[in-house]
Amino acid sequence: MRRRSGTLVIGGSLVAMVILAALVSFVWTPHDPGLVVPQDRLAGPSGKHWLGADKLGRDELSRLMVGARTTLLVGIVSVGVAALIGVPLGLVAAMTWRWLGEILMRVSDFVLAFPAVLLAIMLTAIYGSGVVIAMIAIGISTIPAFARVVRSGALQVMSTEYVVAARAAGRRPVGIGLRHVLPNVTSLIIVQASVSFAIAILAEAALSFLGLGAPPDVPSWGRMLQESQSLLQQAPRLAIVPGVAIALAVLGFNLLGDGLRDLLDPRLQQRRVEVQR
Amino acid sequence: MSAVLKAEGLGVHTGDLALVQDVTLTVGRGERVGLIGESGSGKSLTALALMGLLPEGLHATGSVRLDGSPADLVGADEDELAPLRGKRMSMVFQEPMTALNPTMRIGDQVAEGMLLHRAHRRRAAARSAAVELLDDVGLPSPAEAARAYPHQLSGGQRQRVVAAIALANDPDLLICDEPTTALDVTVQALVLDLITRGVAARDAALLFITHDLGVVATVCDRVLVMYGGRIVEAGEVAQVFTRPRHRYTSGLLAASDLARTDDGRLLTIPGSVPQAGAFPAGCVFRNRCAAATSACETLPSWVGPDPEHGHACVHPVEVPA
Repeated sequence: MRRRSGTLVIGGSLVAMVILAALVSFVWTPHDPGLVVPQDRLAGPSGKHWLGADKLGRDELSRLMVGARTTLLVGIVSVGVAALIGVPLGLVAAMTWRWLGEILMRVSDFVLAFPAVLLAIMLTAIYGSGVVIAMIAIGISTIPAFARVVRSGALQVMSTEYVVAARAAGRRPVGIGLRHVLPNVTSLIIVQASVSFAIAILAEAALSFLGLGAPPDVPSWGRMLQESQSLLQQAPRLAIVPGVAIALAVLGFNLLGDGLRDLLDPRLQQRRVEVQR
Repeated sequence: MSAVLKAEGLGVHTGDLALVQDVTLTVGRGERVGLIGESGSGKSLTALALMGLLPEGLHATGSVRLDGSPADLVGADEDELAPLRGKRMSMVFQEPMTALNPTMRIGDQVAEGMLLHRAHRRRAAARSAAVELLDDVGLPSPAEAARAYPHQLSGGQRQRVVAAIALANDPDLLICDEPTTALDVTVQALVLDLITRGVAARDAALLFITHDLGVVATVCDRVLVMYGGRIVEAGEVAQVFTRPRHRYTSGLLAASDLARTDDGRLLTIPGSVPQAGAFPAGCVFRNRCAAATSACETLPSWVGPDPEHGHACVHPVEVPA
């Protein structure tokens, strides 16, 4: 029986809370998140507004719940795109010619040296701001993490006897990659996805804070932070609520990643493949 | 008797370092040939070179021919080799704990080889053939074993699975690289029996690599003794084991004889196998050989009627007439 680690339970619960909030927001929120109620301006927590209201009198909790959708959407799409591109690149880098692997890794160094925020600012300058631009920018800057983890994992798998045995049985390189190498690096990919998700949440919040992410009419945690900025003295609560949400979500995905690593890969002590942060 | 496998002047090199040199061997249909020697003598590299499976950085020279395939396997590319591997020639590896993919079910791994080489076109047919094969190699409750993952089986059971995979397409040549070294003695006998029966049933050629002389004596008809990347002696098992000519072979035999001791200590060959590339020029064994003279500084020529029978030694052990 495998030990169920505390990190996995806590991380899983936090992530489940974010997902639940986003899902519930589709059918029910305490109030219309866009509804401006002037007399509730900066209202404190109460029976009507559990987490209070912002400077336009919009319900904080409702906006937080709808904001979770943006957070998850950006995370899923950017991490998904990064994995779809990064995983094949990592396999190719590990399994084909050594020079090609080297070139791919140097290109990924180049991308790694380029912060997602900077990339988003460039893309925004060209295409205008929006959630899609944010997802693309975060996605591109996450590709190297997947490519590297998959490459290092695949290199280890490639040196195992069962890969030689598969070749001895007449398997061709593409078949070996798909049937033997990929299934044996899946746990690494899952762990990396979880950790990258946390980074994507943070990046999305940062981009929204800078006004480069979600447009003003779409609630987002980063934008809520930004709007609270001018009111830090009167209503610090408006910064604390989305701030805590972001922190818990990031913590949740990080803990989930660590927990999954322990759960999925008991051999990790032997295979020391470091997750790229 | 037609030769299934014919290797001539086979060598393995990394850069300008020669790891295996001038290996000439043939294995005929239904014949069982042993390749023996200490660790580091180049046995496994020879096997990998025959299969075209040398790791990156090593390359083979010479020629390897498989009966019925026109191309020389040395220098052939993956596209030429892949259809032969697992179909015409297959291999059983030493370490059953690592020779199976931990993420694939046993049955799928056995079926994979048959699907690859179109022995069965449909997955379901290949699966049931795999269960039959697992039954053949003596796995208890083969249907359950087919659904199991490798870590659920014992070492001996896994080696049976590896053997089943190797025999799946009725190969003409089976290469076994120390298939029983990692197993318990009791399990060893079962696996050896299974391999010899499997080979006999298919009238296949067997090249059996081991450092266990007792195993060679039970399994093989002919034997090749390898040291320092060279074949130093070859012949019928009975001949070589009872009247060894090469000094290395006689040392190896003396060291295997547990009844003969030297003041209560087991006999050994003095010295140890040098690092690859650090073997002396001339006779590769001369720095560990009691009979070595300056004549051994030039490479001894092969003494014998053919490459399958003879030795390469300047001072062979005298045979009582």
